[in-house]
Amino acid sequence: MENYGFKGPIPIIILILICLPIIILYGWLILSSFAVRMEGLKPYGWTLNNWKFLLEKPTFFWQAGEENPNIWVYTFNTLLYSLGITIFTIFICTTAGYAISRLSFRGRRPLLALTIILHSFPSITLLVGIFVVLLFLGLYDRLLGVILVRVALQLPFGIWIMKGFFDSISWDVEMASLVDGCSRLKTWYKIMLPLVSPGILALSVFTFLSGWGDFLFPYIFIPSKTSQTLSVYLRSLTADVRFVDYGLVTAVGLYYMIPIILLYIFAQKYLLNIYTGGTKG
Amino acid sequence: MMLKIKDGGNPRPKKINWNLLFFLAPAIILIIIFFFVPVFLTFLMSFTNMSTATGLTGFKIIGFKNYLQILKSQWTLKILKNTLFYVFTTLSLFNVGTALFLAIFSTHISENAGKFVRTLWLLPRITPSVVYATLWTWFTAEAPYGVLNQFLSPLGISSRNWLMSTPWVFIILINGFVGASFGMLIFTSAIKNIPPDYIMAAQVDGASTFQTIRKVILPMIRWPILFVTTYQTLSLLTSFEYILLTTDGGPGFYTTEVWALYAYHNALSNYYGNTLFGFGAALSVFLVILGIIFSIIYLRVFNFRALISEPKIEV
Amino acid sequence: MRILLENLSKHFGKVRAVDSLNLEIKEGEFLVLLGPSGCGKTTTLLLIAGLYKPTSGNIYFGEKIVNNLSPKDRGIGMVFQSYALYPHMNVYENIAFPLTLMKKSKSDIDKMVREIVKFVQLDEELLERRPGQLSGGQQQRVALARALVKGPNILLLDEPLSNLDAKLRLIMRTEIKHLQKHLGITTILVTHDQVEAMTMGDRIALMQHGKIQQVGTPDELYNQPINLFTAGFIGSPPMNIYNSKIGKDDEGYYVLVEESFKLRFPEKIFRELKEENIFLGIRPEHVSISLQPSNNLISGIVYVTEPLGREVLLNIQVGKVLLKSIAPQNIKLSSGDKVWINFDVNYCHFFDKNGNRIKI
Repeated sequence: MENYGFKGPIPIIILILICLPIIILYGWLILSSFAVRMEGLKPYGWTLNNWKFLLEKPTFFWQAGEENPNIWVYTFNTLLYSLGITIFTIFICTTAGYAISRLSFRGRRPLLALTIILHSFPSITLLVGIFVVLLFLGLYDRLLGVILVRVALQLPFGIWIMKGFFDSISWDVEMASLVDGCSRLKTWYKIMLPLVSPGILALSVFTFLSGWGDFLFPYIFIPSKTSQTLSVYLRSLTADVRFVDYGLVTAVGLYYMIPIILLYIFAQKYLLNIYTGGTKG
Repeated sequence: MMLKIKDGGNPRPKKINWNLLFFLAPAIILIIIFFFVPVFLTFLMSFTNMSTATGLTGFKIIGFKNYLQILKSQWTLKILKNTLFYVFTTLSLFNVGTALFLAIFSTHISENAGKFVRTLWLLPRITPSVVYATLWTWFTAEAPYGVLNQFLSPLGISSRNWLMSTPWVFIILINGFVGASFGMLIFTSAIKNIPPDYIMAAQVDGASTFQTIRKVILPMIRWPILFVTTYQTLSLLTSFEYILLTTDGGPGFYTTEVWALYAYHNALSNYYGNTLFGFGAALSVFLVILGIIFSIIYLRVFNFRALISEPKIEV
Repeated sequence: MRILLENLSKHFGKVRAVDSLNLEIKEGEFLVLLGPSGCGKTTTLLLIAGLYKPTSGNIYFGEKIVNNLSPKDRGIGMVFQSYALYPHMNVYENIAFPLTLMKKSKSDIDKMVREIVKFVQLDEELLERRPGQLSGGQQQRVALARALVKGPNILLLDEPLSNLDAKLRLIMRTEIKHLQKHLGITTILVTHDQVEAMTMGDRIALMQHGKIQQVGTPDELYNQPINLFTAGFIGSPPMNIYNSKIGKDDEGYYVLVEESFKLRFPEKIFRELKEENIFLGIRPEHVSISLQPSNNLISGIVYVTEPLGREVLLNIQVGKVLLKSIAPQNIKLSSGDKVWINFDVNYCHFFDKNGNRIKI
């Protein structure tokens, strides 16, 4: 196998070429957030002014008189939103995933088939219907409403992932715990949950990341300013092309990406697992 | 020491299985409320004139009028063409094409360089869509801000807003850079799972790296390729977030409007303030039906029987 | 605790994994469920453990029917083939687990754990380790300790020795047997290894296709196999079994083995052999070899010799028949040598054409 693979200078050139666009895109984001002014990739003067949004409420001359919540409110909302989604998702997926993987009951097969069908169903097409459901339940324009929607739409995927993890636990261990004196419920949380903790971790990181970056659902279902998330806030900063302050936008954008980059670096192993192993394949 | 054995003689009376309720009820309730009911509502609403003006109570049932309107509309054909063009081009160039290239390339260079390529290409997928869209709008912006113009002006190409002047090129690039990573990861793990014996055998038989890729690796990952193709077709057909965030269907009338975005615009966000839930629902029905058909095909392809093994405990 | 299985059946769809089983396990007895893989022995064990529900029939513990009792309420301890130690707990926590579920006090638990650890001869230094850091033999002892710590009435062992290497298997075999006798605990062991079954069990229940073929002491199964299946399954190297025909010539009755050679038996034996077609079986140790030609003996050619250390297993060809014989180690023979064979007629087994033993 020593001679197998691409060798020599050509692969290196290709490597640089395919990575360059992405490096340019993200490199600009970092440079611009610390620059007074950017022309292309060229910064003119350095400043920390773009980051002032961390300390004071942003005011824009086109919104005279309007009060914007400060960044920490948006951050808190985003955190609440993504943590809410993560906690609900983990609880429901570890229970349902366990049931489908391990319990014998009538209707198990149809339920599994349903999971697979919904798993590949494009839930985004249901926006109109979900909108009406939320109105009807009085959950429209409330964080809890969007959280429940997002959890529900992610369930088939999450259940499928957790089922896979439960499937891989030896039956002997579960039998042993039942003989040792556990009920099924006790076995689930004393024995099975600790054993699928890599799965729980992977699903948590995945869910948290996708929740953190969410735009469409909070944008459509929470119009109120006070419960908006960072993505909707950032969108409002760029909405009017004439007045875009790229310094501020990139600083907020970078700030918004910090948790993502950290999680991505530390949990990449788990994430890749879930993208390939679990991801709808 | 003797343990007491409880009496277990009489068959238990039929009672509610609390275990099952605890494990399954939350999932089932949420799935019913946010999958089944919306699907049902989408179908129902498509036969009404429900809109912001009528509210949730003042609407009328109008039969197939929404569908007739879709058929008669001068924009329908344009949007259909846009959708097919968008799906086909993004899919072939990026979601499968680039994905395949990246997977093969990154598994045939050094391990670390390969990992670096894949990590970098996964970045667009995990970047919040709003940030990602901003990166591109800036990249394509007019001089002196846009990077593209900065690169192209030495070549004598005049400055312009590229997103607005060649919208399709960038819609496809923007979606493609995100879309490629899915296939890339699936193909990479498929390639890594090929037993090395096959590749060694090809090497012993005197095949070059390129011949090995063409004759051994590609044929062995044809199932993942088929899977990614069908799967991504469906997600592209129904996706509109990045278009919404960049061109929002423009510039001008419906230049880059695709079916899913059209449904969204009509049902939840149109320019005139009066959103047409009924009409939007009718548009969504087409996508919902497509989704159901595709999903059932997956169930078949998935080889359902192989996925389900009987539980070994009956407590 | 006495266990009684009464017409016990377990069906999985159309497969009858356990088929109308009747078996009594006496108080304090060591019973082995023996059989090839897929014979239903493990299913039977899981039915007794309560992890499976019977399709029909009853399971009694003592005088009580326990069909629908949860495993946790049955007062059983169980050791699994894979040991099934909880990977996220250390050894101490593993052994203490059944006790914590019984809500015992910390000091009680500690006392009981240390007692049982001593009893199964587990090194106390290992208590802080994770199961993954232990050798197979140590894991086995932990599994035993965990099964015994709560003082169960019944001990269930599912292939407990099959993951150990040969040397350790011998040691644990002896220890488990000793431990069982010492505690006097009713024990059921499942195995596919007939040597394990013979050496450990007070009685053996040999199973095939979900049914019990024969129940009895190791001695009974070895010396009076009830049918061809038992005869072929018990014993290593296995019994020589041949298709044979009964005939008569000038010298009287004979048994023609595989159309190759004739064997003669005392007259009274033939009174019991009523059918023409029978099976003849003889264990290798009852086939003796002579290097001296003799008219009374059958001549054959050494096909292959397999030294076993203490003795030699000879494969000898006689006509179309290949037969196995155990000979002393010092016999000097090699392939192609001519030998003369003697069958010990007192140790011949006869089976009818359906495979059932013909009593002589």
